Amino acid sequence: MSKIIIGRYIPGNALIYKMDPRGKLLATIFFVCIIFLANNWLSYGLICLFTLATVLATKLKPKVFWDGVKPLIGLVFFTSLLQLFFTIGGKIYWQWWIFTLSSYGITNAIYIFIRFTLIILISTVMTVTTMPLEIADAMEWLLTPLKFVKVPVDKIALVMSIALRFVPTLFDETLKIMNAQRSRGADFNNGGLITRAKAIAPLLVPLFISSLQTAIDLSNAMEARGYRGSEGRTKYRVLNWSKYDFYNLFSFVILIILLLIVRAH
Amino acid sequence: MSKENIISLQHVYFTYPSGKNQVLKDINLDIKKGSWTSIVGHNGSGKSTVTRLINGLLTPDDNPDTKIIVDNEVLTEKTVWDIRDKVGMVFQNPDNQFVGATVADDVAFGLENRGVAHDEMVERVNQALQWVGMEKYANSEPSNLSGGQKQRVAIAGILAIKPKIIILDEATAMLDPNGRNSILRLVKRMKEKNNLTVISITHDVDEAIIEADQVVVLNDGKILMQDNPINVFKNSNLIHKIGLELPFVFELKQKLAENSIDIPSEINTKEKLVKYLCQLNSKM
Repeated sequence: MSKIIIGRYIPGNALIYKMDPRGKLLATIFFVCIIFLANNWLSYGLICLFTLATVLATKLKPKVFWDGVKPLIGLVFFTSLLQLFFTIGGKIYWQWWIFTLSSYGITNAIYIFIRFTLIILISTVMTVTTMPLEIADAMEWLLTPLKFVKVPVDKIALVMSIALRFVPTLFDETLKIMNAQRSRGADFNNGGLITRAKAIAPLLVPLFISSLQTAIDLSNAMEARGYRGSEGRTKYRVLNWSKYDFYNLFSFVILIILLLIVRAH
Repeated sequence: MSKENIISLQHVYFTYPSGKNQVLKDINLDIKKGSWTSIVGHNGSGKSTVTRLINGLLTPDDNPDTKIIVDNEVLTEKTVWDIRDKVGMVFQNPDNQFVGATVADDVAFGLENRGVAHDEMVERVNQALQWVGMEKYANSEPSNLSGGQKQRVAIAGILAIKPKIIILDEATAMLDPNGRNSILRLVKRMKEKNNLTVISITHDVDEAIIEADQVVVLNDGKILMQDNPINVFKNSNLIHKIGLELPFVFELKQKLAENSIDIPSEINTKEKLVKYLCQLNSKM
């Protein structure tokens, strides 16, 4: 289970855990936008400092964040290298065929590298300190304006929460089917591409059927418990804004103002 | 018993849309208020279908004589939601009836559907969790619970809506003996506390005999017998013929009778049997 990103919530009791998921989601989206405001060393330094403070505020081990960055590290290096060798401008140090190493290229590559890493770090902070369920709630809240264009937000929210609730159940089911097929001689790990793809069939077909059966059972149970669509439903889980969310969003306002000032210079 | 009927099925027939065979044929069943009814029968005898007809999950075949009455209301398309408010159902597979992402969410699901205000909801959820002894697990996710605990949560979800009737649709079939006993004890306690009517579908004839006031034996979509457990299980030949087993006490009584030790028919529990046999021993 621990390998799945969606289950990567790590319980803790730092301040950041007490924040409202809506605030955290908004902050993450803000962050991705305002990182493009940075255009010089000072602004990047500022944003790095801010991210570092956020990461430290989670009071989690550095390894957690390394795990977040690791799967994307190849992409980050690749983009940085492209910037490094294909940007022309400033002082040119070295040139060969289509590759150029210039002072602009070097700064750009470092900027891109920082930008990527910070975005990954901040989104890791978000997913690691917020339960998937809370993220779903926050997303529902963000989608609420879509009600005016007749998007069934309540139903989407229910679908999301049921989907999240069944991730571990289906994962267990998959393991069970895999083991059952293995005990009858199925081999999931060997052979070429086609052999392996074929070996997946005895796993996927039962999984599909059992999911459908589960869906039927669940819909029966829901109906028996009085579910008849989203009208007239109340909500048990309510999110409350607290003073921490005020701090959270206020710090972002300060960051934006500082960035704008530094940027002008 | 002079109590009124809370459920009454009259001339009910049922055919699944995809099948050709009639699953239920002319079911007539009365259930007294506050009683415990066990429905037993072999696989495919139509036990589950009967309960799904009661709360309108399935609709009986068109027939002018058919009538399903629950708590003085005739089941129609209009009244089906009122009736579902009064009937709580616990299903067989604990995994497939858990709607909420946490225990408290799941217990609240029925209340949410009924539009209960938030403060009252919190109170009723807490109370229901306390009744079933799961208050410590309010924020647990279903994947961290055992099967028995999930069934407790399912019962809490039903108690929260304050029903008059609880239907256990083989609710203990997937549990180990300990989980089964604790769930049954819980339902029994809740039944007495809130004056509930319980209908239990079961393969477990021992359960049927210990708890039930009335046992209904279904065979191929027909009611074969409907009486108190002692009278039903006296009929050992018939029970064996339709592929059911006798409860342990009755099996033992039969074996003793074959060795010409006759036990009076009112002895129907292990405790009574043990006591009787001890007395018999001291007399000899």
